[in-house]
Amino acid sequence: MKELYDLVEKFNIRAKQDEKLRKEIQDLERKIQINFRDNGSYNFILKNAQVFEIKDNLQNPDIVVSISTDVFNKILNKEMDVLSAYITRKFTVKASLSDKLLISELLK
Amino acid sequence: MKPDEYFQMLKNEADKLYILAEKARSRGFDPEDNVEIPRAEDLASRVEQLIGFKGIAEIIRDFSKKYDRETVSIMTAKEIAKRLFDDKKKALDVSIRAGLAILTEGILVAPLEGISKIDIKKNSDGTDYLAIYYSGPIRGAGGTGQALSVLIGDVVRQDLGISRFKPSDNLVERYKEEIQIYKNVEHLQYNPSPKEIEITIRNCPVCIDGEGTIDDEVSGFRDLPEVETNRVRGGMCLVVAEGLIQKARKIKGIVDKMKIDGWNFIDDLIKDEKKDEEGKSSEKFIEDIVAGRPVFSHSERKGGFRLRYGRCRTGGLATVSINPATMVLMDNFIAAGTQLKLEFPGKAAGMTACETVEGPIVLLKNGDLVQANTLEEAIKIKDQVEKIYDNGEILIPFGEFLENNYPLRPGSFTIDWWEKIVKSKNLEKPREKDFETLYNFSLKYDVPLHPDYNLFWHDMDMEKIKILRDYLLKNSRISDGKLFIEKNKEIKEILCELGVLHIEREKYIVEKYSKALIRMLGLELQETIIIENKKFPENVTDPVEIVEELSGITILPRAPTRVGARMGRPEKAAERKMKPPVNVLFPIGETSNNRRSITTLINDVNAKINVTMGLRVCPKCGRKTYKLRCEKCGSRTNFTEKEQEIELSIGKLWKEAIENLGEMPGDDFNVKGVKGLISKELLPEPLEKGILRALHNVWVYKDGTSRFDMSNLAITHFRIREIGLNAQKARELGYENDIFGNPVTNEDQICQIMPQDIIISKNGAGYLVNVSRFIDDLLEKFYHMEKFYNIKDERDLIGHLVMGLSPHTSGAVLARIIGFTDLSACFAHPFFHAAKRRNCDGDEDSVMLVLDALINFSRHYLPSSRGSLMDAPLFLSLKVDPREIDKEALNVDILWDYPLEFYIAAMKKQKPSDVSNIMETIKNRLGKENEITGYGFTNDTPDINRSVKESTYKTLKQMDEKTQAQLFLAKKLRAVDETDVANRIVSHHFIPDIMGNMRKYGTQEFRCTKCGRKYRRMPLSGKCQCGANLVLTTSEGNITKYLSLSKKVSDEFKINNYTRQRLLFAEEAIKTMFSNKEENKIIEIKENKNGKTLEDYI
Repeated sequence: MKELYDLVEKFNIRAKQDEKLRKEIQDLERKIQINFRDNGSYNFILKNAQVFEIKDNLQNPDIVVSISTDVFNKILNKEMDVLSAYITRKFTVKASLSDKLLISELLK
Repeated sequence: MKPDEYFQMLKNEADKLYILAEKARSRGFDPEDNVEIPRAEDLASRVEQLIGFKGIAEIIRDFSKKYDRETVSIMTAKEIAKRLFDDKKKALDVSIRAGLAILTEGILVAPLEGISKIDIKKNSDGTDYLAIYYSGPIRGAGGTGQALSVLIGDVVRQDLGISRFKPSDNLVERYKEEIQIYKNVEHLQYNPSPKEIEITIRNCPVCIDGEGTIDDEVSGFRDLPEVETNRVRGGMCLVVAEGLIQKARKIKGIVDKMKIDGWNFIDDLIKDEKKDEEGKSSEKFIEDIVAGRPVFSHSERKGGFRLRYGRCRTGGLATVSINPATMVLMDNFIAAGTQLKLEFPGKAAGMTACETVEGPIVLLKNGDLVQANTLEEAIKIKDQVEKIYDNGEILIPFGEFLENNYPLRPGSFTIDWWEKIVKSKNLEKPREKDFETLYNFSLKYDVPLHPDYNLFWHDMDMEKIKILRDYLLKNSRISDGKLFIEKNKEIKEILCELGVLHIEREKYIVEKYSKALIRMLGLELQETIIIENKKFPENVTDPVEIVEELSGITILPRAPTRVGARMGRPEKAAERKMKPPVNVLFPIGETSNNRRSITTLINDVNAKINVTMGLRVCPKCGRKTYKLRCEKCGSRTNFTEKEQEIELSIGKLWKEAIENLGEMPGDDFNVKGVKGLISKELLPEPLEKGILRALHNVWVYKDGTSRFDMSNLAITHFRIREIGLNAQKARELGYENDIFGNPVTNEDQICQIMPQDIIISKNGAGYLVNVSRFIDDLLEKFYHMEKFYNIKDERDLIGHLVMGLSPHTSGAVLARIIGFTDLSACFAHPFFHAAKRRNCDGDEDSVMLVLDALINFSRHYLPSSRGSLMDAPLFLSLKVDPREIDKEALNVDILWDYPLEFYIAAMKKQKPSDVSNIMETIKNRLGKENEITGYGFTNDTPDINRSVKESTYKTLKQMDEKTQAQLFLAKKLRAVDETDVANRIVSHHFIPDIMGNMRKYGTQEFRCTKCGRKYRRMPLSGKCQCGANLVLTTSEGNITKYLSLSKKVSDEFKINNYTRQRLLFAEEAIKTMFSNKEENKIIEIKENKNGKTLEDYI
């Protein structure tokens, strides 16, 4: 899932460069699970304002995103707005409210 | 005072009042032991308090960090639905209401009362669908809010797995019929076609339902299984017509932005929209003309109000300004605060006076044509006016065009504009202001003629210019710089239309414009003789081009755009009274006198009244009572949800109340109560409150508060002197520096008003002083606390806190009184008015002393009917945040002057959004350090009080006087067609009134002359239960009151045949109805020998 890794890398670079974003997430530690309905699950950890992939199974993830590869790619290619996709239930997020907002940052 | 300190000061002062009120409330004399108006810090907490669902505030705050208001409302609704997923009905209910509350800034009751029910019903195929039941108060949410609530419902129902609505053919037809009936009975801003209704109902994924709100029923599609009532559902009609259909374009924007499926039908609605007619002149403003309220200018008429761009310091947020001389010479019909219905840019505006715009040009009875530019000049000549040739300028801010998205129109050519042109050419403007200097300057540097010498050339035609030129060549001469013209009727008219000010003696003597007139007509002076300088151009027809050709310089039109206007509502400043006015919410029953007077009942200490009260029970001793406290053990009683008819010893209760207060009122003392209670619990106010209110001439409103109503006007800057302050007091209030940053040392300095400071009418101040004395007495004598206000006169009110509250809303806004005005208006920062969801287009709302509201307001007193929460202070916003108010306030422009590019754009009739990048508005300041400071204004005025203070509409009491005054003015105004006005008055006001009252006469009731009880039919006894006589509710006089006036107007103004014939028909109908006056006159059934018995009548 190259697109996903590219996205994570892009986010990490942004988090290093964007002071405001870095401040917002500096103290956060979150377990993120992204379930592609047609392409398996990927687990990540957000720590020290950087996102890392972990290969092990995640116990009690804080954020669970369920999405299809098609929608995911469309969001990345800016063919679909992340907010519209969420409102129209193109993907779902199980998380606290502030974590949902965090995911919208990640998918920007 | 810095903004942060200011807001903190307001909060601290409000907190002190809350502590005091809580202490009073804790005494246990009121329906609740705590203050019933919670403080709301922001939109999020307001919504949470309104909806009553914990946790909403946090959701809103989180989403608000990232998204705009509409997105926040949808996201919040989704989040709530998710949290309440297990109870789908509740999830829908809370989420839709919360979404709507966010859209309406959390201060409207529409989310509570405009949505009466939310239900999940079954389609014919067995699937579920969402039905939202709307009711009347949804009107307050506005079309966009209404439509978005449906959209929110759709998004949430999808999340909850509820299917879409699939209407039957019959149901679609029912909607068409129902909306048509509603349109005939009530007012709809937009009348949708059957096709539009069909498109909407067939395709809308949510069922727009409602409860029956009016008595009319559908006749065609009755008893449908999907609809519970055959009555017309008003709320539904509003949401379909004024919401989804009228606001289709706006909804499409949101649906497209969020890519919400299933709303493609909106495209079909937009296709059906009529082609945009923006920018074309419209007679709409004049359609609903009312007798007594004059027309000041028809659309695009020569002589009408001249559009001038700029913002007076008392302007913006639908406040526009004219010269006070115009107000006076319009026979005082326009006062500050009077509403004017305008042709554009918005529908209406509140008026203020501005002496730095041009006043009217008028022809006096002695033949002089003069211009009045100050209040004094106008007062001096007001009785000598023969004709008003030009109404003068109307100053409309750019922000008004931006807010209404109305294309710019070319504005009057002003000195400000001229100076901008000079500057753009890197020139210095000449020091001398005489015509020759300015003309030569224009000639040399290709600068348009200075506005001081501009005339209304564009109102001429080639023929008239030629006639004038030829006449001047032969029949005029110059002496001492004055132009003497031989008298001639045709020339006189041309001079007046051109705006050439002159005096009429043996000749017409032109002074100011003498040289300008000669030069502009291609003439020149040879000593005292006028000779031709340039040949009259052939083949040029445009009057301005002709004059340009003749003068050799550029002329910009003096008044290229005229704005049609008529009077709307008059200004208001009066205490809020119920009808009839009362001092206390204490019932005295039907059988007592009709004056609601408690005082007259208590002469006999054994006097008793029969009233209905709530049945309460003491939880400790089980004793039944109507009182809040158990008479035996003093415990707080509980309402049993039942009511009881009881006989009260009013004399005894009164005596107890007086003893309790230690107050002995004098002989002329009169406490008025209500006939009966209409609250759910039927709980009366303590009598003591009524006694103290009556003592101080204070009236009570339905919720226990005492208020003062005033017309709203916007102000951004005030002169210290004009609001009754001195420099020291201004500094004490936190106005340490003026607009230029200089320390405040004298009363002529101008300061920018802070967002929650208000300047109230002096009448209002007098009433609030009374209220403060009532509160002090209440604290001392009833709650046994110390007095708080100790106010001696109005000046002591300065610095005290009040609440502002608008009708249809339930969120009060905290404000501080900083001064007074002689006008019938409340001047405040646009933020304050917008926070109440008001603009200043003639709207009025109320203020009340904070302590009065905190102590005396109770939800328990509010009527139990739908809509009763409107206009009740359910919470108090402590701080006005520009991000959370209506965006209209953000469109107020704050420039010190308008740039040249703007005037050019206006000449090209560009859209206001095209120039929004060069026109600074408050919106541009959001989030910046100077968000609420350093605003500018383009036009100053010496004193906001230099204005007409009360409209003639109010000073004249009789309708015939008002109508005659209106038509008298119409005759004087060049811009008004008096025959058209007369026609409209008769056909739109008088005839409908006569016909309506005739209909009423046929279906009327009987009313008791003493107690006011109404009967549908005459009782067999022929008299009221109380023994008094009965009369008809509609009399012959009601029907015929406008008849003679209509006939007089119709004869005098030669109204059209159609209207004249309608009037004749009405007259015939009246004659037929009252052919035998003796029999049909007011029927009085009297027992004495002079009266008639029921048998006589039959």
